[in-house]
Amino acid sequence: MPVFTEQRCYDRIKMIKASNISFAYNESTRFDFPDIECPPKASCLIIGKSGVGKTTLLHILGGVLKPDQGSVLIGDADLSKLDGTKLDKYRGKNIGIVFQKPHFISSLNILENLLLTQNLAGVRMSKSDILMVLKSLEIEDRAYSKPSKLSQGELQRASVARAVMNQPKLILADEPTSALDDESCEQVLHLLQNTAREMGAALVIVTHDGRLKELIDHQIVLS
Amino acid sequence: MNNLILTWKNLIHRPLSLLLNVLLFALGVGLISLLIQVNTQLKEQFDRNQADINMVVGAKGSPLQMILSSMYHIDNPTGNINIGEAKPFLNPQHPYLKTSIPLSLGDSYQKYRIIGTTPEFVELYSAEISEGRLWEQAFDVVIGMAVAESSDLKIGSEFNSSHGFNDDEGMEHEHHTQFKVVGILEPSGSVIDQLILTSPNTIWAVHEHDHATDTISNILDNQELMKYEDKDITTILIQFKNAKSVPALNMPRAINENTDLLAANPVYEINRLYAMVGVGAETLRYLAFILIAVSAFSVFISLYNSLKDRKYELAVMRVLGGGRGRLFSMIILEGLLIALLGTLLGLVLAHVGMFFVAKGMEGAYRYSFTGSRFFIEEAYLVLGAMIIGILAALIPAIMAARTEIHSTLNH
Repeated sequence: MPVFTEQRCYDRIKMIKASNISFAYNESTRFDFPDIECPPKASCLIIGKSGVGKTTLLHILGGVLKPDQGSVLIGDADLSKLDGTKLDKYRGKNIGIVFQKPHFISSLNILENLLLTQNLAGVRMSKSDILMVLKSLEIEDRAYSKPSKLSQGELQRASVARAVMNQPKLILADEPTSALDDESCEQVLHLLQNTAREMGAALVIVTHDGRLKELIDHQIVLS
Repeated sequence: MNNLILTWKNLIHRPLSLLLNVLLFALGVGLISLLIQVNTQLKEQFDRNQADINMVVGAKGSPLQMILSSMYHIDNPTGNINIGEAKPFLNPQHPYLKTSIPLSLGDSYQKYRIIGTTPEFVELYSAEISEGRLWEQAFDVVIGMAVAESSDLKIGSEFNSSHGFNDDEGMEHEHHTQFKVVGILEPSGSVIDQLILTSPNTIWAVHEHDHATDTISNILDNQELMKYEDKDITTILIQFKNAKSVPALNMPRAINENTDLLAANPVYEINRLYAMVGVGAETLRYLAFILIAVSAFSVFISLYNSLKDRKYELAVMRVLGGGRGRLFSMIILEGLLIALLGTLLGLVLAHVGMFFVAKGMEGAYRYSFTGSRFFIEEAYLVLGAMIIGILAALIPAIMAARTEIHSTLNH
């Protein structure tokens, strides 16, 4: 019963709630996005073909891009009310993003990259925390390797490690599986879902990868 | 993972580019540091050896050569002058002259010059006896500290001199009396440290082999010297009672026009020398500034190019919470760190280099140079280099701070 109660409790708080969002690059390229809600520990899939503004939406949800209209609430924080350094710090601390291509600081090894992740977000740096996360993602043996020495799959895992490092409220993933084979695809998805669940974070995946449709029920289609 | 460590890791990630930039910076800074060291020490040396001498009187020839040979003891004398002719300037009763000190040059021991002079010469350079006493008898000599330290001479040593200023065994005088060291001077930092001092008649005795001069009682002042009108000396170092008075100002010109003697003003001649060799130093200085400008440009290009390679990294740093200020300061710090490393390397090279150059310069300039002294100008040099490092990184830093996450990651 307590588990059930906890679940219901989470259900009532929407970890992320985006409403009435629109964004225009110019007069001819204008996106009006559907409203998006996702509770903690849950996953939400945003699917659409290329050019429908998937990455644009992801960046708006991640506080990287300001929408022309609409609001993005993460927990009880309104992103549109944050600016400049405050927004940078909030993003670093509360939003973890997994990019399609995992970009790391090439001069630093994985451990140092993750230390930097903590430092940039203003979180206390802890080597043991990092090693724990790396261990749970089964890449702890690559902690002292430079990013260029890691395989694509390992980089994707390191990327997940970076996204969850600061125990964010929201994990955003941009095409995390498009470069992977079926087996890895499912593995990475479970990795993201499990981690999000453990952290109590909401997981929003933006993709055109049809394989994920069968694995996540909550879907929003962009057109 | 603070900015300093990150900056350092970023720099050593491109070791060749770092090496090139640091070396370029080091060359520019090192060259300037070397110029500062040589110029300052040389100027100090010239100033100290000037010993408030207002005028030098000697044989006709090049005034600069006379000054260099009589005051700095580099270069050869212009010739000798007859005491009879020079008598007015040796006279202690002369109304305008405060001090006049005769010098007889022409001999040396090893590479050190032997000067026949009066004990007043020691006072002129404010030197003091460290060991023994001043010369009293003919063939008594007092040696400077540098002579004592690098030759085998000590109190009581006896030696023969060589004719001329080259250490040449074939030119050694075979005189029945040998020079005898009776005193050693305290180090004064001036040219006197490098000299061997004796009385004028000792020099005559060495050169005139009829031994006629052996009977002369040892000359210790000008009154005594003036008695030997047919003998020669090389130059007279003169201090005026009032160097700014009209007779004093006119005296060199009057001597040059009306006598067979040459009179020269050391300050004027040395300034002329600075003006001549200064062109070389000036050229080197410009070269150093060009080197620094090129290294600044090289730092700029390196950072600018590395930003292109790192644009995703910078965007990711922004996503992870790095503000624009953080990215700006990171790139500025990279420029600053390159400048700092280059400057440190440059200073080390210049001072170690100076240490090695010093030995050779000592022989040429009769002065001990050192690489272990740091000058205030070098502090300005360090400060200037830091500012240049920051300026070189400024545009790349602004570009880094302007990184737009969305447009960078969205293609």
